[in-house]
Amino acid sequence: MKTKNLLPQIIEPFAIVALLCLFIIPTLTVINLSPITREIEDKNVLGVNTFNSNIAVKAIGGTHNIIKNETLVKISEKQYLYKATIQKREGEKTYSKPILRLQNNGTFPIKLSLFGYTDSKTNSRISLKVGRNSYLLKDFDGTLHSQEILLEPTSDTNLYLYIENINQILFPEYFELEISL
Amino acid sequence: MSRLLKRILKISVWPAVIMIAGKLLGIIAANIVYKLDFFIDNQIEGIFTIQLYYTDTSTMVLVNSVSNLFMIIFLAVPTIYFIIKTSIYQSTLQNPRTIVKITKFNILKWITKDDTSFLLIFIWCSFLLVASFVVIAQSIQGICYPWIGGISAVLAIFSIWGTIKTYEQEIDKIYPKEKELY
Repeated sequence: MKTKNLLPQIIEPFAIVALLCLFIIPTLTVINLSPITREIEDKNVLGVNTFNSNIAVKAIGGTHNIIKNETLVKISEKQYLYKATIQKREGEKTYSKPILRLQNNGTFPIKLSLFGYTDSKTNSRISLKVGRNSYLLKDFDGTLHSQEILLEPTSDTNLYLYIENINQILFPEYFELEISL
Repeated sequence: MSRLLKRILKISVWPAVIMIAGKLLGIIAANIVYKLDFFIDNQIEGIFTIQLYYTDTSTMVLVNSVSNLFMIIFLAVPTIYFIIKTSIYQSTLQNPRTIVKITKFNILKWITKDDTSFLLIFIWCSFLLVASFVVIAQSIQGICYPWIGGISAVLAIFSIWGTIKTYEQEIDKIYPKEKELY
């Protein structure tokens, strides 16, 4: 008795699946090969992240005649950007405003790096004040200085923006302050 | 197993391999040319456990765009070649002028053997379409440059048009147009 070879019929469904796989697998591989972004985690030896989870940077807000249009943008877990417009102002006067509230809720002191600049080169001196300490950002001659602030554990401090200028400024300036943890 | 299925499987292997190879080569080329830092990590979720990471968004978009461009070009070049080759081959059967032009350009090899079938073009075009959809979707998501999405869309439209034209030519072989019979 002659037996019919059933092997091709058995293989056929598997061949269809294989064909589908030939389309699906490269597509999924290509999607998976597309890179993504992620921050490199800063962990200590115990594997506990103590870097910046206890830090809070908040805008104080409020109204001021000279310092206006304040915004605070969280660029990443480690970086904030404070922006404001410094309006035209009279000469030989000092203006100040509390701009940011810095909180360290952790049990370790944390260092903050600050770098501020304006879009124009006016003879203004811009500095920050935390308590009794003053941190110069921009000198009268336009020289920029980066500063570091140490936040003590369980501290809550306000950051003041100080602006001094000898001559009268007749146009608004855009000020930016980069805060890095 | 049917002969058609066997042929489809045989033809599909190359574009599948080229699709992945194009993407991989694009990633490698971008990393070498721009001297980028990347890191590979495992993740529990998803189908694949290995993931490529970059620390900033602009680098990720750059690498993804370059690799997508490589992949699209790698798939588009053979597809366009097959479409043009078939069109020229069909044209030589109907128009003697084409034979003269082909001889002038010294590409007579193209018309001496009809080894490019509709099936081959259809499968290559399908892979190009799949890759184009992925690139367009990523462009909409903002993880690939929009102009690469645009190029993909143009290539996808062109390959669809080419496939339809090839299909028409194949149909004409079976059912010739009445005016060509007399």
